[in-house]
Amino acid sequence: MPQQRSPARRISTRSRPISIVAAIPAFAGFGRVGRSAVAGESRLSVVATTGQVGDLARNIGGEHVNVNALMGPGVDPHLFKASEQDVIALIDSDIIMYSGLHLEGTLGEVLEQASKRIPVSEVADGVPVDQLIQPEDDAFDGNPDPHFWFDPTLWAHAADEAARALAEVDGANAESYRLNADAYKAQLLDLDVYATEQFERVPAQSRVLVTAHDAFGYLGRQYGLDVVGLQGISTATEAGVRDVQSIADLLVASEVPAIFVETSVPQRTIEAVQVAANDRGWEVTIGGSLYSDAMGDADTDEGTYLGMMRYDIDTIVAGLTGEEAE
Amino acid sequence: MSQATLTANTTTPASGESVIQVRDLTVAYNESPVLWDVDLDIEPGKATAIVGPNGAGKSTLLKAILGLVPIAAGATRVYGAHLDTVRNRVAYIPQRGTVDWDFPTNALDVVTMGRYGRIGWFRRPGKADRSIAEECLAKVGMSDFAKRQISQLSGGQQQRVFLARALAQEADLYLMDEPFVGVDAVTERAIVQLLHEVRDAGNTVVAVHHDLESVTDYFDNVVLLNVRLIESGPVSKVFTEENLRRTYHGQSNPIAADGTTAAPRSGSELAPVRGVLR
Repeated sequence: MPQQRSPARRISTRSRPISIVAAIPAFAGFGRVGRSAVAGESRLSVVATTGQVGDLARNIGGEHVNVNALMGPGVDPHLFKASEQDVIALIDSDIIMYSGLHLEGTLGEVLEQASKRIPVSEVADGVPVDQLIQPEDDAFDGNPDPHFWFDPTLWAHAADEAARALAEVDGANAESYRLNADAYKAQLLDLDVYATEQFERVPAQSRVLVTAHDAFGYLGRQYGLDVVGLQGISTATEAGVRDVQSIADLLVASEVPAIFVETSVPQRTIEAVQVAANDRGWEVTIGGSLYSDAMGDADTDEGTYLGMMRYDIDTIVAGLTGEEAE
Repeated sequence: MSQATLTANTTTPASGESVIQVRDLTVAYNESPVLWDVDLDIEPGKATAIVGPNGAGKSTLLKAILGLVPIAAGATRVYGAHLDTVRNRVAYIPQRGTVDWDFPTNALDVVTMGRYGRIGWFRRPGKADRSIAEECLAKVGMSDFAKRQISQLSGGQQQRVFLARALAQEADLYLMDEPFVGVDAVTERAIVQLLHEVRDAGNTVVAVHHDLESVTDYFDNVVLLNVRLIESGPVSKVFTEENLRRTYHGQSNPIAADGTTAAPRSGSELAPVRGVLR
C-alpha cells in the first residue's frame, strides 16, 4: 500500500513570514462564540475553503452539518484573501476543511492559526503521496500540483479523509459519515468510468488539451491527455512568439481541432495561436471555457463537483472530437 | 436526440416485444460513421451476443443504447421508453479496462454501490441492502474477499465483483462490454453460469463478445455487426459461415481469442468456426 501522510500533520508549515497573521491582530482574541450550542440545534458547523471542499463536506456530512464555503463561484483560491468576516466564520466553526497542498496560498497562515483552537482537516491528506504530481519545474513553488480533485480516484481519498475528520469531531455520527463517503465514492467511481469512456472517443493522437489554466495536470494523467499550457505566454516577446508557433505546430501535427480558454488569457494570445495554425492550413476552434479552480453557480449542476467534472469532460470531448457541444 | 424516427416505426412487428429498439441509428466520430443506419430489436429473456471485427462499432452500439455517445441520426429505446425513465432496470458492466482499479474501495462496497440505483443516491443502504450485496458477492464466489481493496484482486476477481454489483442492482436488462476479456477460465465459467441464471430468471442479457468459438455455447441470439447490421437472430439460424464471411469480409481472421490482434489466416479457416464447438 502507498504510504499515507500522517493525519497528525494538519497544517502545512509554509516558510513564508507570518505577515498575514500580523494583519489580523484581533485574531488571537476571538473566542468560539458561535459554536452551535443552541438547544435543539445539533448540526456541526463546517467552514470549507473552496467550493469543491464545501460540496464534499455537504455530501459526507449530510444532515449532520451546516457547511459554509468561503470561496464562491469564480473565486481564485490561490489569491483569495480572508475578510474579517471570513476569519470570524472560521473560528466560530466546529471544524475547518480545506483542500490543501498550498492551494489556498494566502489563507495558509490563517488556517494555521485557527488550527490551534479548532479541528482543521486538509482533505489532500487522504491522498497517498506517491499519487501526487510533483512537477519537475517549480510550477507550484516546488510543491506538488494542488489540483488533485481533477482525478476522481484521488478525490475519493479526500472523501475518506473528510469522513474521518468529521467522525473525529462528531463520533456519534461516525457511521453515518462512513456510509455517506461510501455512497459518494460510488458516484466518483462511476464518474471515473464515464470520463475514461468519453476520452476514449477522442482519436488517440488528438488527445491534447491546450488550455490557459495550470489546473488540468491530474485530468491529463488520469485520462491520457497531453496538457499544454498557454499560461504565461505573451506575444509581446520573441520567446512568446516561438511558444505560439510551437503550439500551433503541435495542433497541426496531432490534428487537434480545439483549444480551451479562460477569460484570464489575453485574447490576442489565443488569436495568435489560431492564426498560426490557420497559416499551416489547420483550423482550430475555441472549445469553450472550462471550470478549473472555481465551480459554477450554487443553484446549477456545475455548482457541484460531479456536475462541474461532467461539464468539463463533455466540453473537452466535444471540442476534441469536433462534435458540437450540446 | 430526435425520437421521431422511432415513434414512426412503432408499427414494426417485433417492436412491441423487444427490450431494446434501435431505429436508423447512425453514430459518427470525426465525420466518419462508426455505426450506419442500424435497425435492431433485442428479444426479451434471451442472451444476445454482439459480434463483429475490431472497429465494427460493437461497444459504440452498447453506448448509444446507454446514451453515452451522441447519435447522428436515428433513435434507441429501452422497454419502449427513453433510457432515463427506465435506468434502474438496466445494469451496465463496462469493459474491465475502463475501471481504475486503484480506486480506494473494497469488494463489498463496490457491490453495495449497485443498490443506489434502487434506493436513490440520497438514501443510505440499510441492512437489507447490505445482505443483498453479500448474497451477490457469494453468488460470484467472492465472499472471502469482501473487505479486500479492489486493487488487490486478480482480473477475474475484479470482473466478478462488478458482475455482483450488477446483480445487486436487480435489473431486468444486463448490458456487458467484453465481459470475458482478461479473465481466467474459472471466472469465465462462473460468469457464463451466472449469465444463464440471470437469463433463466426471465432477464435479458446483451454482451459485446469477440470469441466466435463460444458464441453457440454461451448465447441464444447473435447480432452480427460491421458498422452496418449484417444479420441478427437466433444463433442456430444466423451464426453461419456465410454470414460470418459477410461480417468479417476483408478481415479473414474472425477467431482472435484475445480480441486484440488478428493474425491473417486464409478464408477457408472460417469453416471450423461451427465445428469446434464444445
